[in-house]
Amino acid sequence: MKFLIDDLVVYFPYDYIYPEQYSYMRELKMTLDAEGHGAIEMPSGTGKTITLLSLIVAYILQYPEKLIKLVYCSRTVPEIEKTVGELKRLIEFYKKETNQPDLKFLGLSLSSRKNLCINPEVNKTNIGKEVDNKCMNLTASFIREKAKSDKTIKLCSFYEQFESEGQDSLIPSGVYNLDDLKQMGQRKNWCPYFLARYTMQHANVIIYSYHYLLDPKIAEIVSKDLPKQTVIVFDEAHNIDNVCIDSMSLSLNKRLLQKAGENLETLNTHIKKLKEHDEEKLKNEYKRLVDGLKEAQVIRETDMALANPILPKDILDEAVPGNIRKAEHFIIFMKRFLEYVKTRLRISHKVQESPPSFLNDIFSKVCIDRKPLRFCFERLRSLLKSLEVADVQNYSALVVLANFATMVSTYTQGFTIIIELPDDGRPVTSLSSVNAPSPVLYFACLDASIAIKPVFDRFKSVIITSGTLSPLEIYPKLLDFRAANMVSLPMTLARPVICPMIVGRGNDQVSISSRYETRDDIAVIRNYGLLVVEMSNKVPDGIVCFFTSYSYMESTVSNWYVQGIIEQILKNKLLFVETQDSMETSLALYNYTKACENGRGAVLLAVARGKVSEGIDFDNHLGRCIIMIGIPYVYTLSSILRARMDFLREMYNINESDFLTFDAMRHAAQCVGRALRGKNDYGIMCFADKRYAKADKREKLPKWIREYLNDADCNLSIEEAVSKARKWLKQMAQPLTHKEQLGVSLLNEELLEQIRLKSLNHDQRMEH
Amino acid sequence: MSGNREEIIHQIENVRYKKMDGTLYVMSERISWMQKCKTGTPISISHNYVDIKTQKISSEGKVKVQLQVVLHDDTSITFHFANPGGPDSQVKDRNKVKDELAILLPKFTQKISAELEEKKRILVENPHIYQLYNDLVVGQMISAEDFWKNFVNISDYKSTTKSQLTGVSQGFMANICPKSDGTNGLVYNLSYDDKESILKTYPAVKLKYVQNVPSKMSEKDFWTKFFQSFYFRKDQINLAADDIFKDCALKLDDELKSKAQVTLTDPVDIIDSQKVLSNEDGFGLTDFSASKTSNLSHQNLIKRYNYYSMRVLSSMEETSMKDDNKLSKNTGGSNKIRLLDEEIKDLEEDEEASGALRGAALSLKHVDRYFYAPKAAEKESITSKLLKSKNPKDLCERTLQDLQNWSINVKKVSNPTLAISILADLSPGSQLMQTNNVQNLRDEIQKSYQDEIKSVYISSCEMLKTYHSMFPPKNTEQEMKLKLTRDTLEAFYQQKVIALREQLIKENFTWNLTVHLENMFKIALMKYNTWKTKQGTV
Repeated sequence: MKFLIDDLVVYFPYDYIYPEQYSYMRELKMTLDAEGHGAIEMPSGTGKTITLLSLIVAYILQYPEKLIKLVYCSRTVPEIEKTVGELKRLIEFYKKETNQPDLKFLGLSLSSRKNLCINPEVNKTNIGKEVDNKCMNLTASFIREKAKSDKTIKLCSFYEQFESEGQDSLIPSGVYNLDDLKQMGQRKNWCPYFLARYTMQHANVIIYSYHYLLDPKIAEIVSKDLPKQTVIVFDEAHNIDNVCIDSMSLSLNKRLLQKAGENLETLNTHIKKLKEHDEEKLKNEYKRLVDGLKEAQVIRETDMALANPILPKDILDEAVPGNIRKAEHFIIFMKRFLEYVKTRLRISHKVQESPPSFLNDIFSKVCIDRKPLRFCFERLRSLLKSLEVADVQNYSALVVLANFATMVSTYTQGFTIIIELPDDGRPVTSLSSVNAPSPVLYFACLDASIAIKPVFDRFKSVIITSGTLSPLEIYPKLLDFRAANMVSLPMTLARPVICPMIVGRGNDQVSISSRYETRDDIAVIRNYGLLVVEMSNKVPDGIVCFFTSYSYMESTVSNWYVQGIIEQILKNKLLFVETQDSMETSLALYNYTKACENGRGAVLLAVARGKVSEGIDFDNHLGRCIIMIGIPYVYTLSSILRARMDFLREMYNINESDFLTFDAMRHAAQCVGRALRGKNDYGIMCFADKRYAKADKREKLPKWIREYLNDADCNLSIEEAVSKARKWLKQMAQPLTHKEQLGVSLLNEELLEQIRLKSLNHDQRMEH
Repeated sequence: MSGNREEIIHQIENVRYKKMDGTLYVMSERISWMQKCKTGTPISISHNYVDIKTQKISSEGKVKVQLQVVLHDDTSITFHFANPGGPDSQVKDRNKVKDELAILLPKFTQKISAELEEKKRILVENPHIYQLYNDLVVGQMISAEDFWKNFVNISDYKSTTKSQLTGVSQGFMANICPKSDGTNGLVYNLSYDDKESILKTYPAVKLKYVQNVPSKMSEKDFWTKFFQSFYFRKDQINLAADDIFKDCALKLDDELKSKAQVTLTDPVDIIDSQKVLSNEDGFGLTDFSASKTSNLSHQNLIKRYNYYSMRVLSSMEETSMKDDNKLSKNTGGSNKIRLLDEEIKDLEEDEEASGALRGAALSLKHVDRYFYAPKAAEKESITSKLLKSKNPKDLCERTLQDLQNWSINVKKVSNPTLAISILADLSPGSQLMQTNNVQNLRDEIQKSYQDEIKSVYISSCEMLKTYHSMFPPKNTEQEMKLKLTRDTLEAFYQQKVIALREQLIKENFTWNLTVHLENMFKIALMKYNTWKTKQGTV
């Protein structure tokens, strides 16, 4: 269908549109017009992706002077593929409707070498790191240089082919997903990875993972050349602050330091060898560093293994300080730094300090100044290049160390250093020294805005969107941006497809809660078990239970075993459990799906914040009921979290308990949101904890869930909950016709035009 | 002795029946007893296992050691074991027979009930056969046995939907609950199903079972060991060294892994696909403590349930997969046979009809032949060809040749305008069709008669179909069959069709509604006669 939003002609490749999609477009258009950033929440399963794509593509095509590019960031490969699929559909529709079979429009997705490589030699292994390494061994600039004279050196034929012809000829316009790129690569003998990287420059839509934009190590190389007139969309962005923080943080342990030491040794021997054969090279490097020429060579895109973390501009203009200019000196310098860090790891109790105090300490103990530290990363990069090291991946430990040196000396704000024993609170003394966990040094980023700041600064519009983004106010605070538009859109429904309820007590009136004080209470555990048993008796097909943590789940399961609850569940349905082993979990999920599909039905026990809760959809019969056992508070005794909360309180004035509740509720919402993936879908959302009924928790649930949560359903007993569920399920099992939905939760072109005219009239009347 | 032909499983001397000494034979399909006497024909009795409902034995303490066989008609035969070796050997003899029967009898009852089920299903699913059955068997024209032999080819109606196999009930472990035996022990009552379920669910246990029972230990010991062992213990880490299931626990991990590799062939693994870029070591806040906080025994418990559920799921799959293979093979075979049948049938059809099959327009030279049945006289050429050549291949080729040479006979086609005008004249209400009152026929005849005519038609068609398909009989057995069918046909004609005609005449219908029916029967019977006469001449 085709319709107008203000003066923008939007093509929408479906015959019907949801009212909320229409309002989403209006909000989005307003944000783009204002050239500002926005945060928009819309329930999952209402077609956010196509809404975003069709409006932004329309915008790009109609106002090319205002907007050139769309960068769509998603989290997982399947999601990326899905998005490309929608875009394909949209562009097809455009071609048909506008009668322009040769519409100039290029969209593509980008992924790692692992997913794109077509060289059979390289993509044999399925491990990302190895593929990267092998690829670089074949394509690094100095290796290619050498190969010119030495014919025995192997190169990647696909890359060579692409180098010689691919760069001159553009790929025809269209939409390419990963497979399309690969096929094209096969056909033309071009490397799909570099083809995608190269094509990015003139593509209209780029679809890739968060990391390409937020992780400074990668963003520098991949996303450097994006123009200012780009709109960035972060989909499923409810966890974006954690992604930001993670991409800026480091952790060092003993093993890693040991490896770094070995790396230094091998580098040393390399240097010695090189000195004997070819001293010229090292001298050249020295000279270059003296001149302050950062990189004389043009950085070839293939040498991406070592990229810069975000550095203040002034550093790049300075020359590398004298005491680390010589290769040997730099090695010695690094060794000294390494030894210092090693001594810092020898601790008996937790240490936390700020970067400045760490720098003070290092200066007083081993006389390492701040300035050379800042250049560590650059210096290492230059050295590795001079030494023509191909297996850069093997030096990752040293790279981490150099990174740490640079970052700790660069950022004085928003970071903290924590050195602690991993098993905090557990008696370590009884264990032998071999088994004792080695201390870990965390260089933790506390400020999510550091990583995302360049994105907000550089691009015109950044849209953050997700199904669960409540409460919206906290995101601008956490990410430190000014939002031009913040809105939470409800879902229009022809019938109550979700059935949220809060189960606060068992049949014996014992209140149930995962509070720390009561979580080990036998009565509470039994009540939780009974809830699952009863639900598994009444709800058809799949039930998913989310626990607050792995350890809680494990102890509960073992208690249920003793109480015979597991056997009762097994009488009704099969039982699968998420574990920390991803292979085992995949298998359990696979079987869970199978059990739901063949009619046996199954119960899946999973963990909030776990892998299942983040990425797996339980649509239709796979998740008829989601039970949240307890409130998924983050482990509050973690010192990193403590540090972050202190920081948030001081810097952004965010109350500690507010943040914790916000964090817990967004995860709870994320978990229960897994059940509903479309308007024909339906599912029970059972919050099993007394505390959910409290106003501060309830308010933080997304609006679309809150709307259906009656006051009467806020403190149900198990019995009441089950009877409510039964009644509701019977109602939902009735067939749903198209007609019922039309006008309520579905709009066609005609209805849309009416709405538009009405609002126009309304506006005019307001003016009069 | 008829017993010679079949296998004698047990032969027991000194068994008395009605106070007569004799020998008891337990054979593969029946049990028989023969009197031991030197003069005259010995009295003998014999019963097929199919006829036997159940067996009974005398209680422990009784003086006489006896075994009673109860038949389906509730008559019973009692054998008295009188081994001169004393009661012990008598009991031994008896038990031998008893045990053997215990194995054999269920097989036969299953077989018979399965057959009955099948027949019942056919009748329920095919109303026309049910109608025929009603007319012929219930109307006592032929016996039920003859009916199934002659008129219905059971294999034709084999259910095409494969029967589903029951998997393992997910809660079976919960149903095996121990009872205290009063002292300090526990007693598990295992039914046959339970054992099957356990063996199906845990292939490792099955392997152990095959290895150890009965060579190393008795079945009872095996199960005792099983319940003492790990599957009923919470933590699988601390197993006694002599536990025979020890390596099962160790294998579990490997099995999970291999299973994962088999099932998760998708290169984008469900979970790992989330990590688009694996963080390099050291970047990010790796939680080093995560893997250590949890309790190993809890993890094992969880692993066990994942495994258990997976096995329960796949237990069903494996059986059905095996069955699939079998089934496809079977149907493949029978398909072939059926195809061949059809080819021959095709050959029997006259040339025009086969031309029609080839997609050309249907041109009927003799409309009556289409309405009734191919006349034997006309068919003669092909049938005789078949009889003469005895070589279907040759015939096939010839027919194919005929087909290739076949062309539309344009000369005989009337010109279009004429055809259209004729068509218009022939349509209801037009010039030629004014007297036609077919429309009213439906209203004229009572519903009950309509139904009756319909039912007679259905039965007749079904019978005639079978009848025609029997031509030409190739051996005496088929000839016998044909004769029987013909007789049935005639009887049906006499009893039903004639009766119907009379009834209709009584009702004074202007239309003779049974003409077509009668003609069909006449032609069918004539066909038999011509075949008979030809038989005489050949």
